Amino acid sequence: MFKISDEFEVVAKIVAGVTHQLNNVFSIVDEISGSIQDTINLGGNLTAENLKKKLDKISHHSQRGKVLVKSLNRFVHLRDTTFREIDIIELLEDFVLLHSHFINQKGFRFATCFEEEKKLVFCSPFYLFYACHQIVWNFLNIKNENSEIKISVLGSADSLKIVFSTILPKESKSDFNELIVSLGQIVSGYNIGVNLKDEEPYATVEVCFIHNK
Amino acid sequence: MKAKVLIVDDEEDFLEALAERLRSRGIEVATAQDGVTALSLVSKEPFHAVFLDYYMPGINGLETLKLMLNQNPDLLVYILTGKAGLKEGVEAIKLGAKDVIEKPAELQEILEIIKNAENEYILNLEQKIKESISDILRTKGW
Repeated sequence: MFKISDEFEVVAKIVAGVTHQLNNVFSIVDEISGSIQDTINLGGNLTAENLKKKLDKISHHSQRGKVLVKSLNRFVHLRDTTFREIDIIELLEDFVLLHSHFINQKGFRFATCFEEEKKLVFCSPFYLFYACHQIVWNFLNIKNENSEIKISVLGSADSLKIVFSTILPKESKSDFNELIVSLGQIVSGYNIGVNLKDEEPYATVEVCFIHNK
Repeated sequence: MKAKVLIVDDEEDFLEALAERLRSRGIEVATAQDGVTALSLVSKEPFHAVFLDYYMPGINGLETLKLMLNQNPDLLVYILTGKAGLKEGVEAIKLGAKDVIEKPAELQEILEIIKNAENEYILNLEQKIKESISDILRTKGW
C-alpha cells in the first residue's frame, strides 16, 4: 500500500504553514493598497501622513513576506546535497521562522538565544531539520501546561549540540522516549544523534553530531 | 438600516484596512483581535454577519465559532482564513459556519456575502416575528 513518507509530510507541513503566513501577508498588503485606492476612487481625504503610514505598513509586511520566502527557499534546497558543512545557527533561525505558525496556533512560544557567530557542523542538512522538526512537533502534540520551548546551541567546535527543552507531563515521557529512540535510528546514518535527558519536570532532547569535522 | 458586521482576526493591520474599506462603503464594522473579545461583542449587540479567522492564538476560530453559535444559533458566521484546507472547512461547516472564504479574498466577494447575510438576517427576523404572532394568537384562541 502506498504510504506518504515522513519526509514528505515534513515538507508538506512546512509548505502549508508558510502558505498560510504568506496568504496573511498578501491579504494585508491587498487590503491596505485597496484602502489607498478607495480613498482616491471614492474621493476621500488622503493626507501625506496617512499615506506614509499605509505605505510603511505595506513595506513592513512585504519585508515579512520576503524573509519567509527566503527561509522557505533555503529549506527546499536542504536536500540538494546529502552531506555538507552547514551553519546550525542559520538553519535554526529558518527553523524557528518556518515553525512560528504552528507554535502560535498551539499557544506555545520559542525561547531562543543564538550567538551571532557561525557554528559549523558536517551532516545532512535535511535530516538535521527533520530531527529538529520531529522533536518540536512531538512537544506540540503532547498537552503541556508550559508553553515555552527552549532552543539553545551549546559546546564548541567538535562538541556542538542543539538542545530542545520543555516541560512534559510525567505520563507522556515513556511515549516520548520511544519516539526519540526511533528518531535516533532514522538520523544516525546522517551523522546526527539524538538523546533524551529526563530532568523532572523538563524533557530535554540533545541533538549532537556524531562525526563532526 | 445599515449592515453591521464583526471581523475577528489577530492581524491588526488586516483588521484595520478591511474595516476601513467596508466603512467607506457604508457598512458598520466592529473588530476583535481574539475570540474572547469577539464573544463579548456578539453577546452585547446584533450583527448581520461575523467574519472569523480560523487560526488565532488563545481560543481558536473553531472554538470561538462553537461558543458564538451556543450564544446565538441564528448568527451568520463566515470563516475567513489563509489556510482553507478541506479538513478545516468541513469541520467549520459541520459546526455551523455559513461558509469558508480563503484569504486573500476579493472585496467584492465580501460585499456580496454581507448583502446576502443582511437579507437572510431580515428573513429570519420576519419568520421569528410571524411565529411569535402565531403563538400569541394560538394562546388567545383566535
